[in-house]
Amino acid sequence: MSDNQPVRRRAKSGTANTDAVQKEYQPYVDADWGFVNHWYPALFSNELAEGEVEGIQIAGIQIVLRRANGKVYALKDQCIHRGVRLSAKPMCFNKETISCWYHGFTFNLESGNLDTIVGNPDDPLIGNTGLTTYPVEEVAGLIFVFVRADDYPDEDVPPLAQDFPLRFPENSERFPHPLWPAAPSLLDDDVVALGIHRTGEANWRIACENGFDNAHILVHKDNTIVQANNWVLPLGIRPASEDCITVFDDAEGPKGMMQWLFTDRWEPILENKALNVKVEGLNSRLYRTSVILPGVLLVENWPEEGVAQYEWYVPITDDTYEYWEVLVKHCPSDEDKEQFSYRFDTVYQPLALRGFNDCDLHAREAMQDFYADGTGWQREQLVETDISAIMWRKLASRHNRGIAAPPPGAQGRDKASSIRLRNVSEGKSPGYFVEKIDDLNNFNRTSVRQRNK
Amino acid sequence: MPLVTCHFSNGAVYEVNADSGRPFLELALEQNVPIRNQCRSGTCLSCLCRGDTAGHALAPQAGRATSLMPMDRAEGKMLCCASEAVSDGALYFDYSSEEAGPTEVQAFVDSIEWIASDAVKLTVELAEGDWLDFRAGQYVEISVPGGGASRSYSMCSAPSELPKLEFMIRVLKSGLMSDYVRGAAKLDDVVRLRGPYGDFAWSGSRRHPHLFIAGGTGLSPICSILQEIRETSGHKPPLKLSLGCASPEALLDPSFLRRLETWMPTLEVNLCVESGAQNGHVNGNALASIDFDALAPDTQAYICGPEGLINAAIDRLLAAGLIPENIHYERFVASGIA
Repeated sequence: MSDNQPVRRRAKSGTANTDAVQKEYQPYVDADWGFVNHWYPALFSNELAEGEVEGIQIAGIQIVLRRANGKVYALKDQCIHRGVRLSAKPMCFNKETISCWYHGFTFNLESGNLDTIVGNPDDPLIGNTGLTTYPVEEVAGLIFVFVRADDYPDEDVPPLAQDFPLRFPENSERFPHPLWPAAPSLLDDDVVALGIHRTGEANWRIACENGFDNAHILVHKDNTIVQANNWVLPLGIRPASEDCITVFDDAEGPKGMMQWLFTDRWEPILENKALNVKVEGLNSRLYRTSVILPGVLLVENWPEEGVAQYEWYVPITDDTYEYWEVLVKHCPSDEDKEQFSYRFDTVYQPLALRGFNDCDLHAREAMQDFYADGTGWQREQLVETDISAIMWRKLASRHNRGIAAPPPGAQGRDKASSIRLRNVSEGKSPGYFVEKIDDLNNFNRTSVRQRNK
Repeated sequence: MPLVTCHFSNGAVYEVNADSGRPFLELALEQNVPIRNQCRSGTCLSCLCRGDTAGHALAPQAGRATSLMPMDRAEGKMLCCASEAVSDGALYFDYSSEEAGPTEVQAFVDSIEWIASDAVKLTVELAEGDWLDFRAGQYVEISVPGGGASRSYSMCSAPSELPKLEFMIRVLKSGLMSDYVRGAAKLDDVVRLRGPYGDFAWSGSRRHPHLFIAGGTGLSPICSILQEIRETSGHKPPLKLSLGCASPEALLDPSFLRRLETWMPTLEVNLCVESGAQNGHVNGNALASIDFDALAPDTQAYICGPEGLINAAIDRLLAAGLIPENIHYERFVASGIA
């Protein structure tokens, strides 16, 4: 520092936002890139066959998954050497390691340690460094990964059930559901989970809040599944009691909240006199929703009796999320499984997971621009029915295990990088999976110029 | 055995008894010489040093390829990881053997917010090109604009918030900084900071209960430490904060403390006032809310505030069975905080 130098504001100074009031749920507002140190679904089991390698990104953290001898391993997908994604061109010499395809840095799947370097086996770096590993659990056909900060200690990794919805019937007394049978859990025996996942172009919080927003029922009026079943939905559902939502946050249990839908704690709205709109013969499907950290939705008794819908809104970047919709049902016999699978293909997927929830994807995308630069959290004008969102924001602010900071190298941190722009021009949207190199001999470029003679 | 001296830019000198045959870097590191290094294979240039002009203490190890060029060698540059000691001599490193010491920087005033009847929170942002690393709990000297003199203040913000820095400042009836923040201070003023100083810092322990005792603006470094703990990965220990102020109106930023309490499930905040206790306040100083008989003996205690409070707290904590190593404190002198 010298007195002769003019003193300047930093280029990206924070003064622009000094009007912003720190919110009661500021940590949630700060979580543009999601929460870390939580369990997230990474892949369906059938997306990773024996020996296969796949690359994904969650909360800005690039993760490579490999199945070896049946077991799934997850490591940071960024070689310590030059930052290359191992998953872009998988190279494995044995069942215990994965090697970087560029210089052959070879990492132990279990420990993440640098075991050797293919063409330099005596390098002093070997044994002294490595990649962060991510604990993996595989249940009911889903692979879950504990997405953690590099310094999160192994001994503090919580069980998967702590980031899962409540289970029934063990919680049936605390959260009675006289109108439908106990909802199945992914962790139960005999369950089958069928579903889809896809990338949505919105912030994960926008998506998550849409999932349990009781006032948006209006948007679903025209859905095929509603009309085909002759369901007659109310215009809205408003909180009618101070205990319309119950928070559960036992020390060793999941942290979330239950909405007491279809009880007298929530009032269906059947008429709007100002608009002369009236609903006759209410015939809604009975369901209720609960939301759990790090952003997991359980819809009980949906879309049909004995089925429950799980949703995850897994942050990829600050403006993309992987939307998981999974239907769970107890299927003790092969015949049950077959029936569930048939119904999933013919009804649930086209009409519920696609038709009904596609309309939610439209709504989330419609909100995105308003929130994209962060000012939406200050500008939004909330109403009575937003109690659900605000309770969730406070809950998430208190019980998250860490706020993601997009690390250097996170895909999508630079919105206008040349690679991103080229991918888009080639018709590839920013997404969840790594862009794999399928032909090393062919780097397709339209910009090639050539001198022949 | 050759005796090699390592000279660092801060004047520190280390001696290394260096066997031949092994890379000098390995021997030096074993003898706790803070030589920078990464690849240890002659490539990355982290362990670069310059030899003595008189003679050569180090010689390149036979057969080792390095990224040094002939012109580097001509200047006497060597890589510790790819050289071995051949004779007595000196090596020079163009960096300090210690972590960065106090530095002087400039910062812009972003806001001055009243957080109590007699205290403000000053928020500044480091100027373009300036940087000042600190550990939660440390303090800097702030030159009062126009006044020439400096006053010491602990940051209440976490290091992760850099280039923003926040300070809790007690505003007295008169005083250099008090007059400034009450009167002339405005957005975009430039203030000079020098630091960081102090070794009041979090021990990093996550397995033992923590007790924080703050008197008045002694809360400032403790706020920084609490936020550092909040940002740490993994389980958090039980945390208790007891803040003591003169009156309910003088309590520092109680709404922020309540928010912090809701964001940190293991944190319990108790507010103590010397007079006029209202709902939820404890009557007395910062010690009044603490049940010393119930303290776990492995409690880590952190105290910051006036001399009298610190001495009284230390007595009570020792009597409760805490060992001195687990009692961390920062004294400030009342006249120095104006």
